[in-house]
Amino acid sequence: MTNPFDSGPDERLGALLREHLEAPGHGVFVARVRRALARPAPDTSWDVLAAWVRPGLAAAAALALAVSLWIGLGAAGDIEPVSLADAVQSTGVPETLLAGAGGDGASTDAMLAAIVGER
Amino acid sequence: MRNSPVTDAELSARAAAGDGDAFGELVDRHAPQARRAARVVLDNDQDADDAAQDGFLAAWRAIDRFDRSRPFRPWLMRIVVNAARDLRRRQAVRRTDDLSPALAAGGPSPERETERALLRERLAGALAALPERQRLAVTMFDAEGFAHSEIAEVLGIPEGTVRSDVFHARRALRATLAPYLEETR
Repeated sequence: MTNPFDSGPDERLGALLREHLEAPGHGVFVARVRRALARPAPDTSWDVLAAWVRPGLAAAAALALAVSLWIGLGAAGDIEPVSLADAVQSTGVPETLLAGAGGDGASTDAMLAAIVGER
Repeated sequence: MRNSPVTDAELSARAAAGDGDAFGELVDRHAPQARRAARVVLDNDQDADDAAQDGFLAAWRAIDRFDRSRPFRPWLMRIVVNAARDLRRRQAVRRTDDLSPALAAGGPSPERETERALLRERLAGALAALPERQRLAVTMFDAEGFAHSEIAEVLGIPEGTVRSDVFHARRALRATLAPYLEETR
């Protein structure tokens, strides 16, 4: 046994430690590691996320479309169907037109004034 | 390390280029030390081998980042020790008190084997009583032949702390093993 204060390795202690820590089956272990090296590396978290990108985008698009349709249909349901005739009549212009349907110049001026006035 | 015409730096360069066989050669070369280092942390053969394998696989994935101007062994050992520490944190370590492997047929006499079994038991107890860092420091220095500076790199501590750890660990181990060491002097 060498001096405990020296700086060189203690060969006897080292041999005891190696013997104590030595594990059997070197060849088996090396073969096992070599097999593991040959296997493809496990997916990282980025690989997992990347695999989810396409299905995720498709699901998001489908969801957005469904929500848009739902909102659109809901908004449409709040408005009562209005016929073109009702919409036109609500402006009051047709009455003026009808009133001016006689064809004289004064009527035409009144019709135009009515239209411009409505705007 | 065994004598080999191919250096670790050459093998690591080939491995970084994707040569799995070159890395396999590094595994073959450094597996004994890696397994011992893992066992210092885990004190269980199966867990130690799992950790050593994890370490080698992590080193394989990171081999292109290894600075080949520096020695390979401390870099690898640092990865293995970290893998062993990670494993210890992740699981409850299965401690074993089976310290007596099968006797080799035609080996030492029963008295001699009993003596060695007693020594192993004493050594196991003394190692277990040491802080992990001291166990690693003394094992890497005395059993594996690492320099203080290399151990400092592996453990991420100052070189002076390594010297102190080696000194205290040796003192404790020598005190425990003194009877045996005196007999075999």
